[in-house]
Amino acid sequence: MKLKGKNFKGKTLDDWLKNRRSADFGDLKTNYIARYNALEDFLKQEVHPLVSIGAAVKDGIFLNEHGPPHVAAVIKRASELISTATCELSAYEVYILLAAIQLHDIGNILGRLNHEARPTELEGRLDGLLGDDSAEKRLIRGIARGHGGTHNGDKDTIRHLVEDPVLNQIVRTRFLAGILRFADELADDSQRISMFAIQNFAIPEASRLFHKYSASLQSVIIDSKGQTINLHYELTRSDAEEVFSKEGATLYLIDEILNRTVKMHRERSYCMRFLRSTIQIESIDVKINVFKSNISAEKLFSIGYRLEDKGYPNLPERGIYEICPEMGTWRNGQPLDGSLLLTVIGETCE
Amino acid sequence: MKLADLSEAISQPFDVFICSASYEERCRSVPDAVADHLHIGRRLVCFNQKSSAIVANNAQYLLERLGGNAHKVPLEKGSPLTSADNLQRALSLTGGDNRDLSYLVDITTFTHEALLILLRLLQARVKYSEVVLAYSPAAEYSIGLPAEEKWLSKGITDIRSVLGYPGDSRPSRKSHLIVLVGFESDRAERLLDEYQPHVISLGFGQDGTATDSRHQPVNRMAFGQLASKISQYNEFEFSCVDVVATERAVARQAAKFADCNVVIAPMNTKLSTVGVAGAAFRNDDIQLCYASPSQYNVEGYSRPGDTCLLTALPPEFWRGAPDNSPATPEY
Amino acid sequence: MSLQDNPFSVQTPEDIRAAEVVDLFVDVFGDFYNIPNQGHTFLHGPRGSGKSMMFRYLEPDCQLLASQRSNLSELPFYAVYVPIKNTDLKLTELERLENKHANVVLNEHFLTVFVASRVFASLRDRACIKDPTGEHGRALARYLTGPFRKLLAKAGLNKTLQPIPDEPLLAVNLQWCIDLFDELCSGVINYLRRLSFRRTALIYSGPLCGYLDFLLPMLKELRALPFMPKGPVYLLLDDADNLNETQTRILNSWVFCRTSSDVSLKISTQLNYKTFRTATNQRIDSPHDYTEIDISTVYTSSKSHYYGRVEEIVRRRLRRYGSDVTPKEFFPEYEKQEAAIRAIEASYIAKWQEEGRGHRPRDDAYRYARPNFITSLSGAKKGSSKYRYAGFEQLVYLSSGVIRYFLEPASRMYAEALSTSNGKQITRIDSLIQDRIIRDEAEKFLVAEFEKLSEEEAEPRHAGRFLQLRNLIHALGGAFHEILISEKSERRVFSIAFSDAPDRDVLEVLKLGVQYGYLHEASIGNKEGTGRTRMFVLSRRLAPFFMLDPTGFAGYKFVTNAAIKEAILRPKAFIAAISKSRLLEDPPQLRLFDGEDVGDDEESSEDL
Repeated sequence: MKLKGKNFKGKTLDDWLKNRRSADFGDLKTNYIARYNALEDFLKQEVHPLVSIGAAVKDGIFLNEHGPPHVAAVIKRASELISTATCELSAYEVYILLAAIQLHDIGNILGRLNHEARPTELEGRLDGLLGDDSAEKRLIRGIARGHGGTHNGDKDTIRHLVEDPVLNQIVRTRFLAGILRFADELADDSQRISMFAIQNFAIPEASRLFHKYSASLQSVIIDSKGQTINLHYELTRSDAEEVFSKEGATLYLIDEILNRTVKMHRERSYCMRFLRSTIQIESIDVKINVFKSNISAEKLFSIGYRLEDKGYPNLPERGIYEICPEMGTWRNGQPLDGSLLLTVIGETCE
Repeated sequence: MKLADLSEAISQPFDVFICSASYEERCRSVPDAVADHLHIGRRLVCFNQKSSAIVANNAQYLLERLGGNAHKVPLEKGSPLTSADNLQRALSLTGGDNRDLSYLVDITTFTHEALLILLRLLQARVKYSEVVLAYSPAAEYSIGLPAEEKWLSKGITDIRSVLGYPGDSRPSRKSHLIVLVGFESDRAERLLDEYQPHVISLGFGQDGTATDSRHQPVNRMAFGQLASKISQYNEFEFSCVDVVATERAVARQAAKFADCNVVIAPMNTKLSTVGVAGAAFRNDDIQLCYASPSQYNVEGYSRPGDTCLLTALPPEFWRGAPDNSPATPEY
Repeated sequence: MSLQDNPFSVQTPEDIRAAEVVDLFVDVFGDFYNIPNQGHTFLHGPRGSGKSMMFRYLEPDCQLLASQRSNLSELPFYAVYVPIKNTDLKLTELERLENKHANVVLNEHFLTVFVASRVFASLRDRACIKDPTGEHGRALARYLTGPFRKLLAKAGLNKTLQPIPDEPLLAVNLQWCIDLFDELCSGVINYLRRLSFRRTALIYSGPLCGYLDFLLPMLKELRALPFMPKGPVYLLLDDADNLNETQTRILNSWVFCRTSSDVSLKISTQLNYKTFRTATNQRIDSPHDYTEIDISTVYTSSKSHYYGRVEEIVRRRLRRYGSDVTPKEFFPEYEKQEAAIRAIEASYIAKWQEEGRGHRPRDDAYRYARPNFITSLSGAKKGSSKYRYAGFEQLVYLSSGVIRYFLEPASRMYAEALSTSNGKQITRIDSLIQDRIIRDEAEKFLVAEFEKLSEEEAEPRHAGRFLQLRNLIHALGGAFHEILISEKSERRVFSIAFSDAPDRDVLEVLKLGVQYGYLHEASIGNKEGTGRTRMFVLSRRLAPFFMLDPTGFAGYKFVTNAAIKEAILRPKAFIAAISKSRLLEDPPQLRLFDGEDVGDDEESSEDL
């Protein structure tokens, strides 16, 4: 049984999965619906509520929402992404993707740094809930891990995922990892925050900017036909006036919005490598409405811009040495150029 | 016994008869003798499907000779998995998965690899019933050539572990290669060259156990040719016809270097190969390997004899290693 | 017989003690400088070309002796020898995983634990760690109970098969690690055993270790232990052709990781490496991912080095045998033959002024004396004198850049001489024995090998190709003999270079020839002087079979694809055409006379 994106608008992946029968999973004997339900329940009750607390205790940061609402938001975004004319997922792939979404942020319970690689460490009952097959568990963890961080120092985490059938099932590992990663990037809107905490200055200074950013992002609309993401921000005069500190620098909310939309543009560009032909998002349209105040309906003005790949690619600052670092340390740490080549030829001939 | 007396000698009924078509004329010997036997049920004719026309012709002959209850089982020399799956399918169709059937197997012209795979499959099915092996010795191998020039096959295209006998290789251990030398010293030499084992054991057929007395000196010559090219090796004897004795000899030789990873290459008679299988059944540490020949002496491989050896394998033969019962058939 | 009985016996280097290795080993790293240096390296060469010996020499016990150091930590690197025997990792059962279940992940786990076991076995057997105070044992114990335990847990081994020992004894802890990884290998094999006759996927619930998440961090952490060298770990994977395709791709993925500052992979192959693609289908390439060395190409393009290497190897072996005879004395030429050749040389020198073709008097003598001598014997009746392939120099040339092809015939020669010596010490091998053995080796190499291969029974993908290769070899050998006995200016020819591009069919035959050692591949400047073209060199091991002169400089001829097709299909017609001076073209004049010792590969390179 395959999920067809063209008929999927308005539905969510988890609802679709929960309405499957065992026969929809082909030769697989395991009841994946029951397994997913058990995993979801366990995480919802015993792990997700602790994620923010764990990060706060370990790193002293007040994370925005990383619990069940965030998971639901990621699932929603993923569901929207796959609602294209050509996208199809097998029931097994849907299970794998959803399990990875459930796991992707739980590493925060041990601190934010390198949290992507942590699901493996949270053993105990979690391991049993993921079933018996080690390869299947590794697959889920690998996809979850691909949503950020680095892989042996390389940020290109998805490329290193191997496409390997599991239990006779074809699983497009990089495709699923791309969906999770981009869906996670898109699930950073106002539902992630506690307005009460913000308004009452209950958020520590170091974390305030992230919460204000999330609060300002009013909607994220995935326009598959238009191959674009529409981001709608709202901020007031007082929002614009507030000064924040981040990594030792001071900045305004608009600076953060600009930075984060650039980050989203980069994530889009990266993830499309693995999603293209089935899911195509070529641009991000940003609209920022500026209001006088929260209670005023009068919009002062709007700011709009589009992030897309356009224009002739820029030359990297260090040219070939930036694209191919090994050319920058070709022989004895020296970069390849005409005179070095002549020198090496001479030495080799001798 | 004489082939002519074989049918009469088989007093009990057999549920399944299995044979293998080959380019050798003697692939017909046992089937011809038992074809009209009233108490043999299903008949399976194995053959290598990507082989010479002679093989296909012999397969067709056997299918017709063995009558309406005969079914072909295509094997593939280059794909042991295909051969195993087809054999397994055929054995299932006989009803052997759920019932303890009796088998009469003409092992004469199976390849060593196919025979070993078949034995492993039977191990998963046979419980108490009898399995009888028929073997029709050749009157002459490598027809017409003097002893020092006889050849059955040459060269090696591939060396692989036999499916079902992976052994238990530990990377920290040294390797012990046991070769049951037949006529093919060249192939054995190539095998040794490829493996470069730490310990080499060369086995030769015991005096008086050859399937035909004319084969003994040829085997000895091949052994001598091989041994002269190796600086250090261990010798042992085994029976060419007694399955139990071969099993014991091989097990004893393997145990002499118990701290090594053992690989056995059976290259002598099919009956001795059955003995090797027995040793591997009892000891999962033993890996069996097969060196696939580049070329067979198709035109002059052998001249059929007029005798036949019957070996009844008792139920104990199918016993696995301690704490490790044979895998039940699964799909 | 041990080495003491036959000084030329070929032994597996793995079994040779460090003292003997250091005694026998001739430093070849001047020719292969990338091998002991940091960085991933592929080392290609036929069996017996010295790859395993190089690897053995790099192991810590040999390095400590050779550098006269006493502490492991003083070494610049730590090399772990990982031999890959034919059916160690390439189990038939693994084919059940292909396109079904966890093929890459399980093969990587198998390869990882296999290597890890060898790492600890090396530390036990080759590292010579001295630990009088127990400090190293305690350091290892701390590592095992700390970071190593976490690594195991991440791999899914929460509870190890036996508890990690809490005593600090180094030997005990090393053995524990070896046993652990041996058991993990065993676990994989037991899983595969259950898979043997199963056509559907089977759940695997064991641990999974990979390179990046297990082996690399483990090796990095081991390096940090006080007794270890500060430099990188080298994993010396010997005979990587014995990996299946998935394992080969996984190994390539390891190369792709570019971790050589911590772990450098030194991978040897017998020119039958299955692919250079990774598990994610990317291609690894030289030189940015790895450096690559083809031993036979190096040693057939720098004959002077090879000659010197062999001479030193033989000298050392004879010295161990208790003899101070030089290699040349031990393998004397056939004096009568050499005297006749010297006489011909003298006559060329004498008439150079009037009739000489070369730049210097010795040029013609060098180029034509031996070929003329061989020509003079060509019409000889059966039973009369034949050219003898004897003398140390000829034997070196005939070995075609692979030390084994010197040592094995030498071993046979020695055995034969010993059998007739009445117990006396052998101080020389008669030229007749040398010639007989060498001719027999050539015959075995060509005739016996090809007799094995028939179109009908050969491996399907090679069906027909072996016959074509046989035709080609006979055609080339016959053609080169015709050239040798002709009046051409260049008579020693061993190579062909393409003046146009060889098509796929021709290339397949040539590649098969390279794989089986009848040819080796190089490149040379093209006819127009505008680039490079492929060149194929006939193995000098075949010289006795085709009555060729294997010594010294040998030229090459340009040939078209069509001509080689002719050679493949109608070898006799090809040879006949050559004798009528058709089908082959001389290279540009300049090249043939570039100095005295320009070899046929002097202008060539390994890179194509």
